[in-house]
Order: sequence, then C-alpha cells, then structure tokens
Amino acid sequence: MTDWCVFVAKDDTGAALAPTSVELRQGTSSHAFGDVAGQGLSLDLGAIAPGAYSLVVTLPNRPELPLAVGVKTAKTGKLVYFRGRSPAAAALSSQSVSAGPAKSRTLHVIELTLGKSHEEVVLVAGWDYSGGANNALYAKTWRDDLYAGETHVTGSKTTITRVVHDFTVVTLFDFKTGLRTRWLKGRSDWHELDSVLQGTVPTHTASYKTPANTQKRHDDDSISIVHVYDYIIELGATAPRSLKRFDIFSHAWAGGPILVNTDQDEEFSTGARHTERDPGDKDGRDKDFTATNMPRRADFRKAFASDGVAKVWGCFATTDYRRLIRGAAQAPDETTPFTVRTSEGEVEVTGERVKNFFRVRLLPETYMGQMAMAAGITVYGAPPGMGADLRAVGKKNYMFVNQSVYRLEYGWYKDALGLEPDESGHIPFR
Amino acid sequence: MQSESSRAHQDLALRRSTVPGAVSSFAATAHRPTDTGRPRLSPWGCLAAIALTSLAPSCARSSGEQSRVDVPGDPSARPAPPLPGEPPHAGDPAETTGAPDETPRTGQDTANTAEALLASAARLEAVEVLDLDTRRLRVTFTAEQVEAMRDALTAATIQESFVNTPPPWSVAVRFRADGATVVGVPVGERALRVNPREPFSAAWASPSGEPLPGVRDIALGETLYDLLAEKLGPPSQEYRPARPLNLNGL
Repeated sequence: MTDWCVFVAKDDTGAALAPTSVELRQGTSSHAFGDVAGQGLSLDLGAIAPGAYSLVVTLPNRPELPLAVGVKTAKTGKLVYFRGRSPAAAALSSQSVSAGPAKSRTLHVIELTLGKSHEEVVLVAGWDYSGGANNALYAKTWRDDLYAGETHVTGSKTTITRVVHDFTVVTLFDFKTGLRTRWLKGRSDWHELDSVLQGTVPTHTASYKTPANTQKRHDDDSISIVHVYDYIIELGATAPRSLKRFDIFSHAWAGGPILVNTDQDEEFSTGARHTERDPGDKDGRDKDFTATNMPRRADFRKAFASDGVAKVWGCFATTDYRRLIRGAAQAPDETTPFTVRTSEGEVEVTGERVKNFFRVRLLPETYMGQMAMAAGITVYGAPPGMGADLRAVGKKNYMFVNQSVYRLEYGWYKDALGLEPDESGHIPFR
Repeated sequence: MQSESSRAHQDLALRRSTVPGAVSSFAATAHRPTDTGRPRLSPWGCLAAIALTSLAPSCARSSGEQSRVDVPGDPSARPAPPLPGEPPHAGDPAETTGAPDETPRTGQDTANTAEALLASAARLEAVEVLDLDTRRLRVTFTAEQVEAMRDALTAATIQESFVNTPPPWSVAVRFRADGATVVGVPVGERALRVNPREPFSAAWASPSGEPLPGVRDIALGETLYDLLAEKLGPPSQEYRPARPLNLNGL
C-alpha cells in the first residue's frame, strides 16, 4: 500500500487547467509532481518526511500559488492536509485504487478550482505611528467586505460590488510588522498562503518623536512602498490585468500615503536629486511613477484589470485647501473675488480660480492623480481639505471621511468639479 | 451611493455627550462614594478646592493681555507662575519655558476626561499650550482667546469616531475650569483627543488596535486650530503641510 498526492486544477466553468508545474516545497528543497499514467499529476508520499510544506502550483499567465499544506503519518499511512483553514477553492479527498493485491494505492486528491484568469487584490496597511491604530484591521475588514459584497463603512449595511471570490488572492503588506501575507478565502475565515518579511528586518516602531528612530526607519532594510510596487510590477509581467483593487490604509497627505513616516534625505527632497526616490525612504511619493523611479511602469500599468480601482483611504486634511473650498462655496458666484487666510498669508481669489486650481493643478499633481495616470485606472482618495476618521461597527473597522462634517465641501466638489464621493466619502482623482 | 439610513446614521455621528457618569464639573468628580458609602475628597479635589482662591492672579494676568509665546533664549520671556496643583518652578530663574506639567497621572482621581471638559466648558477660565514632550508651557491664551475656546467647547461634541490625523503640532492643551485641569492633544484641524490615563499622548488605540479605555475625540471645529496656527505657525513636518498654493496663472 502506498500513498500518493494527486493534484487536479480546473477553472470555474469546469474546464481542466494544465499546470506548468506542481511542487511540494520546504525551505530550499522541493519535490516535483510527475504525470502518472491513469492518475494525473502525482507525488509518491512515501519519500516525503512529515512536516509543513507549500504546495506550489504554477499555471500559465498566473503567479505561483503556494497552498499551505502538511504531510503526516496516520495509522493508514501518509496523508496530506491543509494547514490552518482549508481554502474554499480546494477540495481534498482520498480514494483507494487497486491494480492487484501488491499494487493498491491511496490517492489523496487535491482539486483546485480557479477563475478563468488570475485575480488579485493588494492591500497596504501603514504603521499608525501617532495614533496606535492597527491598520491591518481596516485592511482585513475591507478584504472581508469585498468577499461578502457588502460593507458597513457608511455605518449601516450597504451593498458593494463583490470583488473577492474563492479563487482571488488577497495580499496584505503590513508596514507595522513588515510582513507580506497572502490569503485565499477559507471554508471559514481565510487560508493563509504565506507570510514573508519584506526586507531583512521588521519596521522599527519606536517612538516617532525621536529623530534617531526616524533615521533608523529610513536606514533599515525594512518594508517599503517599493516592495509593494515591485510586487505589482511582477504581477503585471506574469498575470496582466489581474489586479482588481489596490487599497492603502494609512495616514496620508497630498504627496502620498505615510506608511512609516520616513523623511527623505535633503538631496532627494530639495537637493539636486529631488526628482528621484530616496532609496531609504519607505513612504509613497507622488514622484514614484516617473520613468526614473519606476522604470517598469508599463508592467505596473499592465497589472491592473480594466475595471481595476485603487484607493488611498487616509487623510487629505490640508487646511488651506479646505478654506479655499469654503470660500468658493460661500461666494455669491464664481467671479466675485474673496479673501482666504492661508498658511502663506491672505490670498484674494475667485471661485473660478479655485476651481481651476483644483482641476488643473492640485488633483492631477497628487499621489492619487499621478498613480491614476501611471496605472490607467480610477484612483480614489480623501478629497483635498478633508480628514479621515476611524470607527468600529461591531467587529469591523473602517476608515471614512465624515460627510456630515464636510457637507459644504462635498457640495462644492459636486457643483464645481462634478465629483461625487463613494460610500466611504472618497472621490475619484481620475 | 449611500442609502438614506446610512446618511441618517452619519448625521448621528456627532452627538452631545450623554455618557453615563459624565460630570457637571471637574471638582464634582473628586467626590465619589468610598467603600464605606461615605463621600471622600481626593487629594486632587483638595488641591482643586485650595486652588479656587488662587485663580484671581492668573485671570488678571490673562485679561486683556496678549497671549505669550515663550521663545527659548528670549531673555524677556519669563516662566509662567505655577498653576494650581502644579509645583513651583524648580529650575533656573532664567529658564524661558514653563515648568513641566505635573497634571493627571494614571491612578489619580482627576477626571481628565472629555466628558468633564465639556461639562465645565461654560466656566472655562484658562487655556495653556504645553510642549507635548517636555510638557513645558509655550503659550498662554488671552482672555479673548479663552472666551473663544469657551464658546467652541460649549458647542463641541464627542465624536463616535476617531480622527486619523497625527497632531499638527507637538503640543498639548491644558484647560482649567472649576479649579481643575483637563489636558488634551489637538489632532487634525477640528478635534481634541483626551486620554484619561495618558494626557500627553495622541494615541487612541492599544498596540493591538483596540481603543484605549476612556479616550475620546472632541469635535471642536477649527477654533483651536486657528488659535494655535496663529501662535505656533503652520503645522510642523509630522503633519506634512500644504505645498505652496501657486494660484498664479489660473
């Protein structure tokens, strides 16, 4: 009696998929499945030591899919099982076959059902250096909502487009821990595919008020927005048009998401190389999408599905912008001058100038505007002038822009720019 | 698109505090039944009671006076006199910044709460801006500015949500009314975060992400932000301020 693991893949219409390879990996060693006549892709478990493995499935035009499995010895022989929660997209069954008394086998069959093409959602959780929030909770709530097709981000149940299916890979870059974790939906909860430290050390999360800590965060080889970009770029090269959503939960400002709050060295902020990314900088910057800073931006663009969406959930609470909007919203018409107090002193403007400033200059030059142009998708963000809030609805955690607080401003965005917020109060920057 | 019910819910997002146990004044919180059922006066309450008699000089100093920004190295700047419940300055008399704050600490019966601040808002007597790290005095509000803050706090509400913005300046604000003090940290442009256990902290959540007990954000409007901007200048780097507006040519 021998035990074999057999692998079968099909798409959600039932059509068979032909893997390029299937391997059982542990550290640097791997055991490849072979095509056994009458049995399909199979691996004899006899030579496999009990332990934790990744069952790495490679299919054309898809990234490697590493299912978390284990091999153990039972009374009846060796068997394979899913570690953690079993993926909803996979079924595991056993059957005995016999080709005579001396040749009976137990086949442990893993049948994986995928979409017609790869689909993925990438989430980013910044480190909340000042408030203490665990932004991964907001990302995970959103992951669950995208699977359920409903959200409570408005405070009550609201239907949204279901983006995550059983076969959708959800990837979270957590800047507090430094880990990139990937899941498939589990039969309950989520099946963790893998969890990998980005860089060589976790994020240094000591007090943000101490300059030495900020410098260490800059100098460390730890998680950076560049890891996220590189992941998306590889996705674009391997599985074009597969990225359905790219959501970033963090503090933010006009210049981008603040993921660990690193400063740029002077050379890269105001110096001769100010158009280049500072290699030590970990935060997102609006200059990230240039040919210099993202040489493979064609692959970055290719990663996004035609209906792909990105969203920066954090603040855009710049008071000057809010005051310009309030002034314009309260002006009798678009041509009557009014005065606004700003951080640069008082400025006299008209509603028309404010509108043009937002449309021509501000919105396109933000991180969201720049990403929208680079990726060719709609990118949402908090409207300039508005801050994001955090709230819990039961065990769910949400970032949102309070539409009651900013009613006047939202009215101006709609009337002057034709921009209306989504369910969480964010507006499209393209 | 939002449903009507969700809009209605959001309209309720800002509400006047009706938290059970909210007190009518700071001093009142000093009186709580003991295990024996008898009221007791906490050490802080005693200090508050004694302090009532020493309010006059402080008010007189504030009345009609320009708010002071203590500039390190400015020989004309003088340290502020100690507040009730605060030890006298122990440092060099030439020290140009105020003494480190010694107000509420964990375990003291001081009611450093948003509810207490709102309950006594109408009787606000003094407002001081302290450095968040050193806790030294940086600015004392004038009587006119205190009045503006009194109005803002009287109309303020406690939010059901937390503002997701780092402190625009590295400061805390100390409010005094009814002989007691409450310290909060401005967050964003429209909120004040009050933490009963760690008054000089902008954090609202524990490392696991759960809200810390008693921490509240007060929705203030922009009054405090405006007054701080006037005295401290544009928000510092940690808030990442606006870029140059550059409205030319539009």
